[in-house]
Amino acid sequence: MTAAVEIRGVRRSFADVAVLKGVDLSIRRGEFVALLGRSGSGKSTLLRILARLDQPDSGLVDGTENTAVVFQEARLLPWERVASNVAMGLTRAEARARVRNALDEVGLSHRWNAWPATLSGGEAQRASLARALVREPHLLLLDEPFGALDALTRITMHELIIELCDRHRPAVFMVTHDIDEAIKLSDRVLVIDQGRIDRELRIKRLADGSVAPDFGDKARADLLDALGVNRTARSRPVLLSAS
Amino acid sequence: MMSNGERSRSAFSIAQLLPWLSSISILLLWYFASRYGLLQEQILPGPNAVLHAGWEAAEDGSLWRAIGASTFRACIGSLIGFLFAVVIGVGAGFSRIGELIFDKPVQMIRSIPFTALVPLFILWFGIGEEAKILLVVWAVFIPLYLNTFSGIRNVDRRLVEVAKVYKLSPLEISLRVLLHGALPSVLVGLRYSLGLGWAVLIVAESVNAKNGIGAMLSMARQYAQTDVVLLCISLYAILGLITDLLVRLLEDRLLQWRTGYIAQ
Ligand SMILES: Nc1ncnc2c1ncn2[C@@H]1O[C@H](COP(=O)(O)OP(=O)(O)OP(=O)(O)O)[C@@H](O)[C@H]1O
Ligand SMILES: [Mg+2]
Repeated sequence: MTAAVEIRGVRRSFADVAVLKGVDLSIRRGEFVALLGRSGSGKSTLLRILARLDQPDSGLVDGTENTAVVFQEARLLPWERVASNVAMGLTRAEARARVRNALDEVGLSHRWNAWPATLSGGEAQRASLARALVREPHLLLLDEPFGALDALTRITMHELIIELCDRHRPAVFMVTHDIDEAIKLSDRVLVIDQGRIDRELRIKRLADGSVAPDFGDKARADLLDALGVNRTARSRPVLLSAS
Repeated sequence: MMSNGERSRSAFSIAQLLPWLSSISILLLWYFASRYGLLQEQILPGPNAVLHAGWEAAEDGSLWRAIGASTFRACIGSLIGFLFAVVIGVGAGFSRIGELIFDKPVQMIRSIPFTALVPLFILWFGIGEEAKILLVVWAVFIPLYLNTFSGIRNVDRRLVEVAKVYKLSPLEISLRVLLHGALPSVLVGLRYSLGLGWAVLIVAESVNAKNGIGAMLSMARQYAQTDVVLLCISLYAILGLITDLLVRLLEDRLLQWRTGYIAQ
């Protein structure tokens, strides 16, 4: 299958500081790619280039423009009700046919007429996810989408995103700080360091979609190493590092 | 929880009554002071004299003509000022080029006190309607533009980013994201600028007009009719209150989405 999005040799600097120094990346339709990296390593910068919110200084960005983004904050328009937020950018006819469905999918149809200010953090993030999925994007970009949620809500959101991605099969690019989340959700985990994709790890899954425990342990150790975290200092990674 | 709610509700009703109680007390004090001859009729006639003057003016129709003429000017001037302020405010707030074109000139003229413009506008436009309406336009435009511009600049840029991801057009972004986000600030500006509009109008009318509340005011001053002067002042206060009330109603309607924050 051809790539939904492909970038080659992407560079980006801010005021003489090179943040991306030649990044290559290609994501197929239906593939889930997670990106790990230290704070300030350029993860969001890369995501914004994929979202075409920012231009690279040099390099190639090619592929679908049918893109949706879920950010760490829900970023709903506070002055529009949930349904109207979800319908952003759709025609009236499209909105009528699909918004209801999208809200159903994220389990928020009973709150369609609510003001965003009255939603809980998890509900707001689900509304933001509905807004992303309602347009059947070919590329779904997630920038620490669960970072602001509590551990329990995060688990529910993981289940939800797995189910929705199985159904809609977009190419997914997710930035996260959470190694376990990356292993749990993605087909491929990348680590960015010093402006380059420094490591790449394919996640092997068992028939039921879960990861074999010993493979998981090894993957976790590998990724911690790539992130430059000393394993002895943190012998066992916190399973759900709540923020 | 019940008692808490009730306590806050009764505190609320007392808080609502107090301003009225104090206003009524002042009126009563004024009434009895004039009734028992503590006030000189020429300096400060009693409230009943003011009411009487109002009644007479209402009967011979001059009251309604004055209110009508002033309200007409205020409405037309405010409407034009409002449209200019919002269109230019959005233009300058949305685009860098718009800011370069519009913002500097407005920042420069904002410091001119409008009273300094009264003689100029009268020289240019004579005693016709234009001078008065333009002064209202001016008075409404400046504060409303400033509030619209700063309101738009304070809208969360991250929301604009979302709108770009979902491919809203520049016009949609200006209206649906920027102007809407600036609305709280725009409405504060509106309330302030409409008050200023009335003030400017009364000044302009009392300098130079055949009709309107300001004209009635300056005529009454010439004939030393203190009761009519007080009547005009009261009219001004009432019209100001009504204007304020209308903007408040508008706020309640347009800023519903914020009640979520307040309730929390
Ligand atoms: N618009 C900008 N102007 C100047 N510097 C920027 C800009 N955007 C990002 N940077 C800088 O580029 C570097 C990478 O930022 P980026 O937001 O991509 O990091 P990140 O990997 O997403 O970090 P985090 O995990 O903390 O979100 C940082 O040093 C940041 O200060
Ligand atoms: Mg980031």
